[in-house]
Amino acid sequence: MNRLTTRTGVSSGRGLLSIGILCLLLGLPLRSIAADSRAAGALDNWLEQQSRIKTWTADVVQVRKLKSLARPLEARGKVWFAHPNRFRWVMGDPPRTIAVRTREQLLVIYPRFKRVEQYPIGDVSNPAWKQVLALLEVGFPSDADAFRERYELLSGTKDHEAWRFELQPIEKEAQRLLKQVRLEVSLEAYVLRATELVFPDGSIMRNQFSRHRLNPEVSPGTFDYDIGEDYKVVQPLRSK
Amino acid sequence: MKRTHIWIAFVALIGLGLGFARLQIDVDVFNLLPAGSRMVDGLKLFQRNFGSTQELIISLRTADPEKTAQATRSLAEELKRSGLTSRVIWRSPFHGDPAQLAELLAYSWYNQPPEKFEALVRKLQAGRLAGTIGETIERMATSLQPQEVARLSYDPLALSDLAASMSTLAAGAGSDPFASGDGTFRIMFVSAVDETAGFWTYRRWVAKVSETIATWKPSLPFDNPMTIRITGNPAFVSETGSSLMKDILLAAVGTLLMVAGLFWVVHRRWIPLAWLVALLVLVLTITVSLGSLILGTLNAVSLGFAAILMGLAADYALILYQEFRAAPGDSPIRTRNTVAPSILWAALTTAGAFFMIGLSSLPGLTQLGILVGVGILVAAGIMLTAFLPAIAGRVRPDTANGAETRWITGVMSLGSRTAWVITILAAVVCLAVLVGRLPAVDYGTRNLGPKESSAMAALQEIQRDIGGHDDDLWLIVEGADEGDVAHRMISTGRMLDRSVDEKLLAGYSMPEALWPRPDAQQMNRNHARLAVARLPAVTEAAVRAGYMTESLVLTEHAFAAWKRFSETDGVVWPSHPGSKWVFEKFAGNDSGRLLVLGRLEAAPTSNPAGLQELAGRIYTETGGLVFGWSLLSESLLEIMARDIRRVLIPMGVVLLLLLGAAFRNAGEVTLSIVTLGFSLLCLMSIMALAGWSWNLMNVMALPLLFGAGVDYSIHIQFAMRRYRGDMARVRRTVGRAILLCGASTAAGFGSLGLASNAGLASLGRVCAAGIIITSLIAVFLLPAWWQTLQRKTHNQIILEAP
Repeated sequence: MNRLTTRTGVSSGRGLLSIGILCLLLGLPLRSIAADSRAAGALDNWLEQQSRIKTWTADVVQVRKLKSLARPLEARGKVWFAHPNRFRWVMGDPPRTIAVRTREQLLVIYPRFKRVEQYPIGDVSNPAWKQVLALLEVGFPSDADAFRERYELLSGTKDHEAWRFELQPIEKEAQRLLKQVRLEVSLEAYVLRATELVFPDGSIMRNQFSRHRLNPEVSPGTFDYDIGEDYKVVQPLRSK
Repeated sequence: MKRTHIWIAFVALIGLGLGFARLQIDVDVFNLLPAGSRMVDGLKLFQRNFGSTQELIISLRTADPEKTAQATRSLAEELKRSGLTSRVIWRSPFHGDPAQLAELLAYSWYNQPPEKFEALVRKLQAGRLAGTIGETIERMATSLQPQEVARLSYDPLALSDLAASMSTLAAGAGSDPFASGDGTFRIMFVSAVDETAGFWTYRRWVAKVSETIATWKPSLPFDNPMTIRITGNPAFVSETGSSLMKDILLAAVGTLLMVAGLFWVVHRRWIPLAWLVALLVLVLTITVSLGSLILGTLNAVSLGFAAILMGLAADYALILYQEFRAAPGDSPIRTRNTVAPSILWAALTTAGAFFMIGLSSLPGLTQLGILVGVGILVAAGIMLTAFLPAIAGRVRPDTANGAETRWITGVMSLGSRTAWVITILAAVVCLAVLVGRLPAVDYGTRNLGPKESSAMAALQEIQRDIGGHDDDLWLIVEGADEGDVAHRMISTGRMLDRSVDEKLLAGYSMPEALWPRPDAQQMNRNHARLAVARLPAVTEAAVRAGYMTESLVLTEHAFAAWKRFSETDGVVWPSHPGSKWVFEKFAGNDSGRLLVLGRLEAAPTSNPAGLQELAGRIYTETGGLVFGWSLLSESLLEIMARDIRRVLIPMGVVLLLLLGAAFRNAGEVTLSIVTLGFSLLCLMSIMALAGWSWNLMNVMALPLLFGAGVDYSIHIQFAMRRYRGDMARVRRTVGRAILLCGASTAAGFGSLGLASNAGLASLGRVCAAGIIITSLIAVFLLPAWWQTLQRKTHNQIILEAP
């Protein structure tokens, strides 16, 4: 792996020397200035690429590393995304959990228990609800500015096949729910390869995407869900 | 004879001593509320029986979440060390203690319908155990909710699903009830050591807690700006009571000073002034002592009687003094005998009016009426017997005619025609104003508290930054035992469900899953024993499925709790301190009756009448009390209307009878009533013009104005008889005294207008305006009305007068 942080864009010259001394006095890491700018540029490229996506599908392997368990948990599934923020996640085979963002709400469906949870899109003040949305949306930002307002780039590294970004939620409130977000993006096409969410308790959830399809035809019904009559519908954010 | 006097004095002193020994002052705002209202009963039950009412909430804010957390922990430890508190909760009581959480979970299962607990036990049996744990693992692998994953990662049997499904816990799932989202703002709950609720206890305690905080603050290892605020019920009670006490004492002292000051300005005699003040203080002392003997604990609002009584008692002294000045040749006894009928009838009538206020639903107003009534009789007796003899040699004869400025002489000699023109003009203007706009009736409860409340500001900050802690609508269901409460709670729940369907309520939360179910617990005892026997197998299966041994602590503690429950006779309640704290929020015990507290959320489209109707239905069918400050306002409107019928009508009848007995003349009785009515008309117009409204506190102005109006009208009409219709002379003697009294009393009440308590301030304003109006009407208009009446009735009274 070629860490970008080993390169420096600083050359000799009195002006630059004085900047260097100033930076040393202020404790600023000179080498990371250039490195971060490269990583930030790469992240911008990815964000720009994401904003151009109309639809996107992929298979996903979700790996969860929990402190209380001796071995990681793994689940397989599929993801559909449509600009600007519609998505559908299906986890498990046969499906155990389905998350669909419809026009007005997020539905989390548990087919085995014939249970549907409804979360109104307008109400994102509940912390648990924010966590669920972050988990599902972090890899699909449709608005680069909004993404930059929510996440701060900590570092970016590059190897022969991918960029790896480490980001941190900017809001302290968000940091209490989500410690870090890691994104893995392919070098050439800036295609999302994986997302990794690090929670404050140290547990990690990694979504590894494969068999990507960019702008495929996606049936509009994909982002809706016909709730069967035998399903129990609950609204967890409402009191009884 | 002398020995008899000594004995009387001795007995009176003992009586005074006994009265003061019994004296207790009640400043609790809840006791200011009217009796006989379900809303008030509910609020009082809530106040007395639920843990949160005994807790201070202290909030801390810095710019840095770490610093806030550090300061909160440090203050919590400091308060624990101080011995001022029995408990400080600054984070979830279950934090870092799986035993406490496990007990609550185990209890919840033990409280479930037996078939549900039995189903759980079946899932632990040999053939199904691996599948049960495998299902939890699969849920962890596929759940989209990080919180659910975190929870199940320490709970292979998914026992905590039960807690997550409880409405009371799920409503705020994921949010920290002790901190704002960004962590810069935190709160802690501090319980008093002394569990007896009350103003004096709370005031001392809140002051000591504040002192401890002030001493602790400099010890912090950082100097970030930090804001600390205190709220919670004890802070509210302390703040409201303190401001009430201060306001009332200031009003009483203010009135006394005003009486003394005005007396000095007008008469400039030290000895009579000193006697006047001394006798007023004596009247107050005797009245407080008698009041304490008759009523026991005195409500702070009733202490407002002091200002009213001093205003009225000073009348008697000033009238005596003025009469004595006007007839310098008379002996004190002769003057007293001349004035005594008017003073005694005035005292009797006014006291009768105030005694009628005892029928009011407002406890403070009831006591105020009785105290003023008693005080007036005491004052009349003392002033008639003790005032003139003591000062006779010090009174300067009334040679004022020459000394008075021309305009005063002009005003005092106001002719009958001019008085009638003023009467007609005033009546027309007032009616015109009132036709356009009547004073509003504000039956809200905000007037019971201070205008600016630091406790309220602190609570609003918590509601804004953390949420909850509001006081929208509450429900208390009571019963003889746990089973009775549970049964009533289920019935009430069905009614609430219907109300949600009818869009009257947006939702509600009742601790149905947590309230003990004796029948279910009895049947679950055997299931618990069977479950406990499976613990080794559960541990082995969980480890085999991938759980670390140390992640099974919660499960082990839950099984241990089931073991304990199954060995317990009778109804099981959770015993860990954390659980107790949680249960105190919704479970109470009022004199042996068990209570459970629920919270209702009114639908945005609901109206108070609909909610009142729901409250009535719930009360009729299940005995449950629905209450809340918003509904209280609605209920107070009914009470105020009822009081107007219950107090004012009998008061009017008694007044008529007493006035009839005093004057024995229908015309003069009518004039007294007209004086009252005209004063009220003018007052209402001024209120309408000034934008003042009637409220729960300033309705007390009405009896005062009735009392003062009757008092003044009796004095003036008796004086008109004495001086055979000589209006100028009546005004210069009794009129002058009444104006002096009115001015001093109004000034005393006017000082209440600056009170920090919103209700008292409005009471002060209305009383001051009312007293001035009444005294002006009595002195300047009533004599003209009287003269006209006598002319129309052929001067009978003038001719008959001595």
